[in-house]
Amino acid sequence: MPETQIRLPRVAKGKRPQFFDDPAVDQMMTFIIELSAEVSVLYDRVDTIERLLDSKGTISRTDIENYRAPDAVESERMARRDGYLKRVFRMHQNTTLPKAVKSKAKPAPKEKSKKRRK
Amino acid sequence: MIPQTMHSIFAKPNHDEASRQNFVNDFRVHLASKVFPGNFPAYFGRVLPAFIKAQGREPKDRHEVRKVMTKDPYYQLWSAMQRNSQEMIWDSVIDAVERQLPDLLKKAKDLKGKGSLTLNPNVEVPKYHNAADIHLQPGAYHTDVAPDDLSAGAIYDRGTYIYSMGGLGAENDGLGRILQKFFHKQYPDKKIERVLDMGCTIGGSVSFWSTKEPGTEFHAIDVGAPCLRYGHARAKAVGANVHFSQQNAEKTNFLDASFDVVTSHILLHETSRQAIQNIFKECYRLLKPGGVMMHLDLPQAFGQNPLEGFLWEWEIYNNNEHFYGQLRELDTADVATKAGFDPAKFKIHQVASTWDDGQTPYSNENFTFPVYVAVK
Repeated sequence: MPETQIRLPRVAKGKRPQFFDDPAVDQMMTFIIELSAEVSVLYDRVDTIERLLDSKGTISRTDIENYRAPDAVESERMARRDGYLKRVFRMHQNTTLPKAVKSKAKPAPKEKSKKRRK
Repeated sequence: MIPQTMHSIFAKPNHDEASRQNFVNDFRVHLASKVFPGNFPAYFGRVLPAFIKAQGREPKDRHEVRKVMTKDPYYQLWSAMQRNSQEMIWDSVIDAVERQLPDLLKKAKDLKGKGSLTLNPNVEVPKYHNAADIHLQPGAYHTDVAPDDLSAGAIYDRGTYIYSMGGLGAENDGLGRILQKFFHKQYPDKKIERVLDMGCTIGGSVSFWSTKEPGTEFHAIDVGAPCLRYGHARAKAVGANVHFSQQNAEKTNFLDASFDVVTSHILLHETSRQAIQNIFKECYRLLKPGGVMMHLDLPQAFGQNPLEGFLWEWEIYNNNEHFYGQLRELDTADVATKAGFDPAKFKIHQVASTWDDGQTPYSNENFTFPVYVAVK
């Protein structure tokens, strides 16, 4: 990037929450997810190269940069990314419906609208 | 995701930027559909039984659920993924905006079209707006980084589209479509000469209104100058006719009884309790007799069970939506009454989140937005 380029802010003002007891785990999550994104970007780029080679035989860097996936290709890529996400993050997904909990404890009431103050 | 319409002022991504943005979108879809639902079995399968065992009762409200659920490993991992996805939205979009900002500034200057833009550098950005960057957008909606800057608006246009996973429609104006449709269904015979949209950011909603009601004069206000500059350019690009001005909705410079409709599209939850009172008062002042106030916003806590309530508030604690909490419990009827409205003419409507072509902004088609309506 040239020195004269306007730089935009990159960090949001406000405290970043910590979800795990060890802050290093929070940081590791960021590393892993960012890396997953970059692998996906690379995969799209390889896909672009393969498609262009199929249709043109020989290509330049400009051909790659100028390529925009048509809707049909983007749908294929979405389907591929869906499978990719399921594989990479397979240890952490759950869509089973919750089982009803049998207990004799008093169930919590739904929150009610407060009475209007006089 | 439905491809977003790239109007002439849009910061078009290059090959890898588009790929990165698409990843973030698909990652969020994956989180919403495959990961988020696991919070329910985690709660009912182990968090709730453990609570009952320890306390002999269920949690009485969302705040008690929060204390135990934030310790659950499934919830923690989902939260970390969700938070990262939100940060990655902005990073993937800022790349494209930063790279072509000089070009966007020039395009905005050269664009021909209708409407106007009136900026006022003396308008103070309120505390509820700059205490933290809303939705984690770095610099939020008000930070200028260049003369005549519009980067915050350009970032917002693409970022909110990915944030909603394309759910606001190809033109990213779904909330305007929902409210415009609601208004005409509710008031089929009402003539509207002059409409004000408060907290318009980039004016996506009001620009939609404008393209549908060419005979009506539309005004839109916000405190964020770069969003207003972008909004004005975007309105021209989509053929809308909107008069943008930099003003705080709590106190504007418009004349008494000068509008038929004063509206907002998810503004209130970004402001404070006192600000909402001031905004309702200002609406009352600005409306003509018989005029309509309409504020569409996010759900309140009423009617939600403790787990639902807790999950709805994830954004308050983890996505810089700090001021949503006070709206969740606010007696808006009381606020309207104190603002001068007749309590008999105030109503909270629950409005379906769909518009004419059946598109829905959120994956749950049963989702409704509360709309706070009062007639002067």
